[in-house]
Amino acid sequence: MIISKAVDSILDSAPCGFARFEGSGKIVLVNRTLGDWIDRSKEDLIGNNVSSFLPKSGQIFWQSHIMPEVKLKGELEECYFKLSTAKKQRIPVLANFCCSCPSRQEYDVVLFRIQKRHQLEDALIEAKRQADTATKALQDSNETLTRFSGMVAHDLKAPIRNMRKLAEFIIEDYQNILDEDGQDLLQKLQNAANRGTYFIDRLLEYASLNKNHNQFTEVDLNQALDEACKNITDAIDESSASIDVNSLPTVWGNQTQLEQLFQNLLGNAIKYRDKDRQIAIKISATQTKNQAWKINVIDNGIGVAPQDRERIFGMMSRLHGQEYEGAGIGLATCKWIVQNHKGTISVESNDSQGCNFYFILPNNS
Amino acid sequence: MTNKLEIINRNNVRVSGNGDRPIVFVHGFGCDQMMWRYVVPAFTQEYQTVVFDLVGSGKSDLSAFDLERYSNLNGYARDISEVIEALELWNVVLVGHSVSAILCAIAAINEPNRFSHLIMVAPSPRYINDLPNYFGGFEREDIDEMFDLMDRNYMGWASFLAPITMKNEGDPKLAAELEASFCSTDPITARTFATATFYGDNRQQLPQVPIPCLVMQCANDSIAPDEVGKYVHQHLPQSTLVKMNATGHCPHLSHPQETITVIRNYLNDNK
Repeated sequence: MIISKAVDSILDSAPCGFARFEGSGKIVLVNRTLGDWIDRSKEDLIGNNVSSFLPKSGQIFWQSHIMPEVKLKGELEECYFKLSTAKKQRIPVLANFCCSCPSRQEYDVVLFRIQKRHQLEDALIEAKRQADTATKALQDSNETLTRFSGMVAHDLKAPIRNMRKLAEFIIEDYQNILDEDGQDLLQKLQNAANRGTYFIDRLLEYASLNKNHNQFTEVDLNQALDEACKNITDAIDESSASIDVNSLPTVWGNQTQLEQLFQNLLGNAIKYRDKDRQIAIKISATQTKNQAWKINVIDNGIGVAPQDRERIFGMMSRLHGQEYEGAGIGLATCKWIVQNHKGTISVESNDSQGCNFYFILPNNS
Repeated sequence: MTNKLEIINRNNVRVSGNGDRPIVFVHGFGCDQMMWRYVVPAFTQEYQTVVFDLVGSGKSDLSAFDLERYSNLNGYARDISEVIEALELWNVVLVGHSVSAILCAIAAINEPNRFSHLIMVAPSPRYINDLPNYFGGFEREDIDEMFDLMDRNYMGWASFLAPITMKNEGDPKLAAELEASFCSTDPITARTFATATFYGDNRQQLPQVPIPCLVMQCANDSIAPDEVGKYVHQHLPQSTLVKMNATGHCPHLSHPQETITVIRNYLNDNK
């Protein structure tokens, strides 16, 4: 190979390895940097096959991947392999190949040593592996927990229902022989059983959220709201709540969950109403700057004190005692649903004037 | 039963040539039917030529990849049989490179009547040494290290890259770039094929091959060294051994003319 002295000198001192080889792998030109890396003189390298300076593992990769790629496509970038030094040490390199002369079938390769990057990659792959293992363990334990809570709730439901029924029978059949204290105790038993049933139903609801939670379709929120209202018709009628709805958008989501979300928020608005006011609920939608939908559920109920606004979305966290029936699960469910839609939920309130529970759903269209 | 058209699509089968007699070329580990592009045109005058991609390689249908089936070489050998049955070929000359020489041998053992000759280009029935009885050229650690190399080049990064590629599903440019980066782009299929190939041992199949074979041995082939070619030749019942001037492991790519001549001479001499 004829090459000018100037080019030769530039190549020799270049801070990268360089070689030119024929289609058979025979080296025709090489720079001193590359020779120095693997403890060989340029003369040792020229005329030999590239394969000779790769470990056995690299030879397979050279023949099965690198050469076919370089030959059939004329180039290959960012290819990683190891060189083998005269003392059989390994040097990890990153190489770019190209076909420098199609008629003579000659190919050039530039190589960079990547020892440090190699160590970094090792650490990164290991960290990813550990994170994957931890995530998997967490998912497993979550699933077990969901299954467990579902099972417990399910198994508790029947005996508590029986207790309630039995109390009912006793009241019906033996009311006359019981004194006032006895009747009062029975009433309390029935109330306790009712609360138990209510609590378990909410728990089951929460446990069932995980099922098909990723089945997303286009959901018309007006329709989801309608369904939610139908499910709690009794409560709405009983409280004579007025529900005022502005047109809502269609979003990408899980129909059942979004119905549940409205149902819980409406249910809460009715439950925590101000007894001195006619209850009015307003539902509206606005679009944020980044095209996300903000859905507002505004009531004129008792409101939420500033210090409680974070806490109420926690599982089993309740602000009120016996005066309002509740399990402390409804808003946790809401939060779970909104998060499952990659959104956020919050509450704004000016205390006694009611509050606005709003959730923001990202625009996925 | 998968129908014929499905097989032809699944394995990206390409048929050409004007001859009556079929010759089927099977690519080895690492690439696809493109490996035969310098050799096939030389046979189109006299033969009906067939090339295809094994499932998991090239432009085969990746959705047809069944981890269980393709975890050993019999699964890949079935690809060959199924392609040949789908095309209704008889009296077939089979040409297999590297591990596919062994796949072709398995196919021929399973259905002796379909095939007339088997041409094994740089074959190896076992890559790992089993000393003192057998020299395959590699120690187990060499193969383990090769997996590390493949991991580093694309497989290990697959879990990092997957979300990115998924996100850009609709961007054909990116998909094309990824496709261009390596012959075998799918990390799972590549690893499965590599495992079946390099940890496999198919020495016991050689004496069962029921048809005449040509063993093409390259010079300085680090993957299938001389000792392996000699072993294959000695253990096949009907074998011709040709030592080529071509160096390396892929003579069909590096020395197509010599490859063509050796195959043609053998077929002319053994009609």
